[in-house]
Amino acid sequence: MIKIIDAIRTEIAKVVVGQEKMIDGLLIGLLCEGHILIEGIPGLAKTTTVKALAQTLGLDFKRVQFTPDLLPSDILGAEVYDPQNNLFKIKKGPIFTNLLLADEINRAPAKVQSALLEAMQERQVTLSDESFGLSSPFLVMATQNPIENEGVYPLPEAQLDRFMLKIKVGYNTPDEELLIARRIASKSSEAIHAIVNAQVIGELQEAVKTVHIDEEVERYMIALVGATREPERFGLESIKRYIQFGASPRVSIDMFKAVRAMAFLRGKEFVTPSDIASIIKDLMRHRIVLSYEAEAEGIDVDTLIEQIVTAVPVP
Amino acid sequence: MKQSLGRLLLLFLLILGTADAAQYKWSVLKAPKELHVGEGAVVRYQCLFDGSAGDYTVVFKPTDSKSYKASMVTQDDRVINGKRILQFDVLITPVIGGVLDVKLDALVRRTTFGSIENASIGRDNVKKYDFKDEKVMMPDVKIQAIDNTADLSGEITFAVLVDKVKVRSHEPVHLSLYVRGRGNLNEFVPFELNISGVKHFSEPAHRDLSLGENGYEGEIRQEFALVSEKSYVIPPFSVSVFDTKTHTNKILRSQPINIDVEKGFEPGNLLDAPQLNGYSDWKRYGFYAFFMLLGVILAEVARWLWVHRPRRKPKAFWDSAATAKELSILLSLRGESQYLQIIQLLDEGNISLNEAKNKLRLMTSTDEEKR
Repeated sequence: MIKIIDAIRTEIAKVVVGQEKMIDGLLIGLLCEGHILIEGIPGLAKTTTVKALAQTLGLDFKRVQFTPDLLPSDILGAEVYDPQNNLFKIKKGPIFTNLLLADEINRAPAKVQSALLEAMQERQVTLSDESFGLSSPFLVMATQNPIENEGVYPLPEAQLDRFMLKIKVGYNTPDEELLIARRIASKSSEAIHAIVNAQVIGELQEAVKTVHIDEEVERYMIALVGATREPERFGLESIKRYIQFGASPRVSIDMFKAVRAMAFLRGKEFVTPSDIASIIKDLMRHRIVLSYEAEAEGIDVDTLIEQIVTAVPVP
Repeated sequence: MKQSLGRLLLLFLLILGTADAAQYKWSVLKAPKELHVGEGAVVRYQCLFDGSAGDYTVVFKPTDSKSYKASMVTQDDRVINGKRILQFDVLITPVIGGVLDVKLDALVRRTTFGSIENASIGRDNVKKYDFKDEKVMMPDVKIQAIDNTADLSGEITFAVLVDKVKVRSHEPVHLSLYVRGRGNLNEFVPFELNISGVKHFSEPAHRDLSLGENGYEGEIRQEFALVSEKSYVIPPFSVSVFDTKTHTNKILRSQPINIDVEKGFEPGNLLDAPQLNGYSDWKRYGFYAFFMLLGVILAEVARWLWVHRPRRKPKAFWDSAATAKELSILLSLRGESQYLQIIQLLDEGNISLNEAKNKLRLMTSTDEEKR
C-alpha cells in the first residue's frame, strides 16, 4: 500500500517541487475524507498542488474561484425553469464532484461560505425540497491568502471547525526554488497521469483504519485536546488567559483519524506520540480561539500548541 | 407739525447717543520756557475727565520732530473724587536753536457697549472692534532753544583709570573710561583709541542709563586692554560739555598716561626654568608618525580581538530535551522532513538521546557550512 502512496507522491513531484508537508496534509485529508484548508501567501503552488493531486487520483475535480459577488447557487446549484417541458429542473452546481477546490475561499461573503456547511459535514446538498447525496470520496480543499485585509471575509468558527487540517504553506528552500525556476524557464514539467481510482482510494482508506492506536496513546490525545481547554491542569496557568475557547470534540475525532493516516504515510502499523506531534498544529491551529489579550500581546496559536505538547506527559 | 416732530425725534436720538459719553480736557501743568540745545526738561500734560471714564483708554506716544526729541518719562492714571486724571511727563530735548513749537497728539479711545457685549459673549466673528477713536491735539507749548555746540549737556563728570602703569612686555594694561552724571548721555559717542605700536582690545561701551526728569542718568563705561612690547603714552581724552547747573561750557579732559613697558620674561631669568628639549623637526615628525602608526596597530588589534572573541553558540531548540521521547516530540513539532529519519530511529528505540543529539549537531553544522 505504501508503494501506492509513494507513486502518488512521485507523480505530484513532477509539477510540484518540495512542499512535502502540504502534500502529506492533502494525502491525510484524502485518506480520512477530511477537508483541508491551505493558507499561504500567493505563489507557493497551493492551487497547483491540489490540481496535481486531483489529476493523479483520477477523480472528478471541480474548481470554484471564490469572488465577492459569488452566490450560494453558483456552488450548490439551483432549480431552473424548463420552458419546453413546462417544469422546474434541478441544475446541480460544481459541488457535485469528488474533489472541490475552493480557491481563495475568504474572498466570498459569509453566506457563500456557509453554503458549504451542509455539504462538508453531512456530505449532502439540499436544493429546493430535495436532498442529494455527494459522491464518495468528497473532499473540499480550500485555499486562502492571509496577507490581505481588504475585500476578504474571515471564515466563521463553525466553518473553520469543519476543516480537518489547516496547513500553513511556507517558502521553498533555496535549492528547491532554484529547481522551480529552472523547470519553469525550460518548460520541462512532465504530464501527470492518473495512477489510482476511486476503488483504490477506498482500499487505502480501509487500510488506514487498521492502523493500531494504543490505549495510552489514545488517552494522550484526549489529554492534549483537554489541555487546550484547561491548560492549568498541566501546569500551564500562564497561557490560560490567552485561550478563549479550546479545541472542540470534533478535534479529538479528527485527531484519531489523522494520526492513523500520518502513521500510515510513514509506513507504520501503529501510532506513536511523534505522529501526533507532527500533525497537531495543523489539527488545532484553526480551532483554538485566542483571547484579545493574546492578540494584543502578539501570541501565536502555534506557540501555544507547542507549549501544550511539551507540557502534557508523553506515554 | 410733522416736520417739527421729526426734528425733535432726531434731536432726542442724538442726545440719547451722546448722553453717556464722558467729557475730558487736556492741559499743560508744567513746561520750561527756555532750554539749551541738548538740555532736556519735562513738559507735564494732564487729561481731566468729568467722571471715572472707565470705558476710555488714552494712547499717548510722543514722537520726535526735526527740532526736538520727545520721550515719555512717566505716566500716571488715577481717579480722585470720582474723576479720572491722567498725567504724562514728556522729556523734551531741543536739537536745534530757535523757538520750538511742541505739538503732540494722543488717541482717546472709547470702548462702546457693543464692544463690551461682544467680548462678554465671546463672539469671534466681529470683523471690526466697536471702538470710538478720537485724535486729540495737546495744547501747544513754546520753548526758546538756545544754540549750544557742546558734545553733551547736563551735569557730567569724566574719569580715566588704568590698573597699572608699569608692565612687562606683552602684559596687558586695562584702561577704563567713565562718563557719569545726568543729561543727554544717550548722545555720547564712544571714544576711539589708536596708539602706534600698541595692540588694543576693546568691547562695546556699557551703557547703564535710565530716563529721568533731567534726561538720561547713569554711567557709560568703556574698557580697553592694551598690549605692547615698548613703552607708550595713552593720549588724553576730552569731551565738551554744557553744564546745565552753571549754564557754562567746559571741556572735560584727562591727563596723558605714561606706560612703562619692561622686557618680558626669558628662560634665563626664571628661577625654575623649564627644560626644553631640542628636538629637531624630523625627530618630532618621526615621533608623530610613530604614535599614529602605534594607534592604528592598537585599533586593528582591538578590532581583531573583538571579532574573534569567544562566543557561546546559541542553543538549538532540541537541546532542552531530557529524554528520547521528548526529543522525538520536539522534532515532530518542527514538522520538517529532515528530522523524519531521526524521529523514526528514536521511536523504534534504535538510537539513544545522546546519539540523536550528536546526529542533529552534525546536521546543523553541515547546514551552516552549506550556507
